[in-house]
Amino acid sequence: MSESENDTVDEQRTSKQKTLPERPGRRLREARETRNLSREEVASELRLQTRIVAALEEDDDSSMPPSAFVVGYLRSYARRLDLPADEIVRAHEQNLEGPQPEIVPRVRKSQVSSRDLPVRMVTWLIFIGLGALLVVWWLAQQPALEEPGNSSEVATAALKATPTTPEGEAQTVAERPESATETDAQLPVFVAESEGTASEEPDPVEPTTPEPAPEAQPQAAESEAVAQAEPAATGLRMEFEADSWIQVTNADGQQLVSRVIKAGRTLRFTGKPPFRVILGYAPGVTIHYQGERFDHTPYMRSDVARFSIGSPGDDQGGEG
Amino acid sequence: MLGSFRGLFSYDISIDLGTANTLIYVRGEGIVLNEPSVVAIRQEPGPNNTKRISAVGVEAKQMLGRTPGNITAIRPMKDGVIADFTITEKMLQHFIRKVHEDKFKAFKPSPRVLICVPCGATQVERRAIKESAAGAGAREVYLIEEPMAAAIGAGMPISEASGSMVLDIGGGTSEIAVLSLNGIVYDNSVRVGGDRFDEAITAYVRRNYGTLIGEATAERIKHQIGTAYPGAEVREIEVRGRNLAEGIPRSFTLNSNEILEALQEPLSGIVTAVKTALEQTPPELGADISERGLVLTGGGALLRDLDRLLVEETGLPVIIAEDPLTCVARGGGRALELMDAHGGDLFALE
Repeated sequence: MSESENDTVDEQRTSKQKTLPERPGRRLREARETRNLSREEVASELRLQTRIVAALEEDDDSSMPPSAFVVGYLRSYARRLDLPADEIVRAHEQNLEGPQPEIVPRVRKSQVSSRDLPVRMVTWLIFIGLGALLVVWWLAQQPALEEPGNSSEVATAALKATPTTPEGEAQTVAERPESATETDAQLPVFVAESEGTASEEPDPVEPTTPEPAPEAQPQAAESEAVAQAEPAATGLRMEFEADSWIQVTNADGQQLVSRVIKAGRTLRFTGKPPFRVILGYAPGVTIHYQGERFDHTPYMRSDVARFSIGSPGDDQGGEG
Repeated sequence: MLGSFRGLFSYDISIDLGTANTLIYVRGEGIVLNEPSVVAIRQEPGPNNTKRISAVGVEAKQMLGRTPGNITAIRPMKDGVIADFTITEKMLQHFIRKVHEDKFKAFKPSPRVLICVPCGATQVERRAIKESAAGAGAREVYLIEEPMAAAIGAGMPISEASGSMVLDIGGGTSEIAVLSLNGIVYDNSVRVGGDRFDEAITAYVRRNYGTLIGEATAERIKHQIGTAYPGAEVREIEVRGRNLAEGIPRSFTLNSNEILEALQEPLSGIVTAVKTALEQTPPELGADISERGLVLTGGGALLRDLDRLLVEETGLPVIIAEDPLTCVARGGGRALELMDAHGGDLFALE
């Protein structure tokens, strides 16, 4: 490349970078020329390749090694030409774009580490999933807590409907299920036919229970649910305060239930008395018949109680 | 647990634990401490024979050779490795606390520390440095080889598949290494450095002038008129020392050519090490090095015309890194950052 070409190149560059200070190449070249040195001479003295000296004078970044080296070359060159090295280097650095060479891992990581993106994503997904499950569980808990109120209303409604059924077909009525699905599955078990006794059921005749069923008790136990739903007082009602196995058979010998009932549930039976009852854990069960407390303690033998309740005259009294 | 909590109130620091100077680079802040690795110990009067740290760093260096009987100023590092374990630990503790002093006063600092060790250091010496730093309160200690840190600090392209040669002349040792692809291809450590230059000057003055000069004076001579290659200009300095024959302090003048002569022996040690390294370098990397050149770092690179000497002796272009004194500490700091970005397996950290 001739000198005139160099000049035009330099001029173009300086006009392009008006805001930046002049690059050091031109100054180096001029200093070298005033000392009557050729590029080759300088290159051999500095032990540099001629093309690097040319690149330094032309400020040609593309054919130069990384900046750390270029700064060193400029210093040695400037010192050789008795130019102020710091100024030259400063002029070079002000035009510098990427000051530091990038240092990157050369070895592909074979082992997955906890800082890898996929691993982190999976971890977060697991956490989010657990959080979602927690929320679902919480939401599922909420209605269960409200259930007692609702379900008693439902039960009342069902009971209210019962006496109005013309056929007197009866129903059970059982219980306060903890979950809807369970109710669906188990309801049929408790269904008992009342076969025309339905009309008699609603009128409570004076109780002649042999047991000392005090009259005061129903009043004490009276809750609005009972008051609202008079029919609820009919039939046999069992409240479970503890888990207990139970078997109930109606007058026809039909088994209404025979399984373990969880604590906190209530079962109701309507149908043909007398009912034959076997309780696996009698102390945990409270029994009401025709709306009155039925004391089954006399029948208990080491927690197990076997007795009959109700009389074929539909009303009550039976004992076994 | 408590350490990681205290870590919230501590910096990530890189320490160039040198024989002559200790430099601390704090991530995000730059070089925050540059003090001589000197500790002054005062012997307490009394039956217990207790020793106390009297001064550390610059203050202690001023005491070197000027101490009364009950104070000793010592350099706990020798030849780049720990010579006195307890004192090194105390010194590190002092420096680490000093770095944290202005910002996190309420907590005892518990920083992550990266320490640069000479590549010639043995396993025992490395372990001593590690334990010393842990004893000084570091939460985690990493070690990096000095030439690697120096190359990173000098801005060399060590990740490229091309050879880079770095010569780090420290106080106690000179490290020479050829690096490529983030690793060290060849390394060697010679126990020649700034201290040997000082000793050579002291010996020369005693031999030729019959006068004894101290360490500090020898260092001042080296800084002011020391040269590695005959130049056009001859500089002079007036020094004072004790005349051995008369026993009286005398003043005399030294010139740069005399110092050049005095330094011949340690300099030839360095030149030989460089030549050996070039011999041992695989030819492909040798070609890269001869094209780009050899990079000088460390305090020794500031010796006047050392690059000219190496250019003449090796025929390679020789480059003095920008700010050669802090290259290792800066490189260590950068290595800490890279380690966080890319994981610990980027360099051979320990």
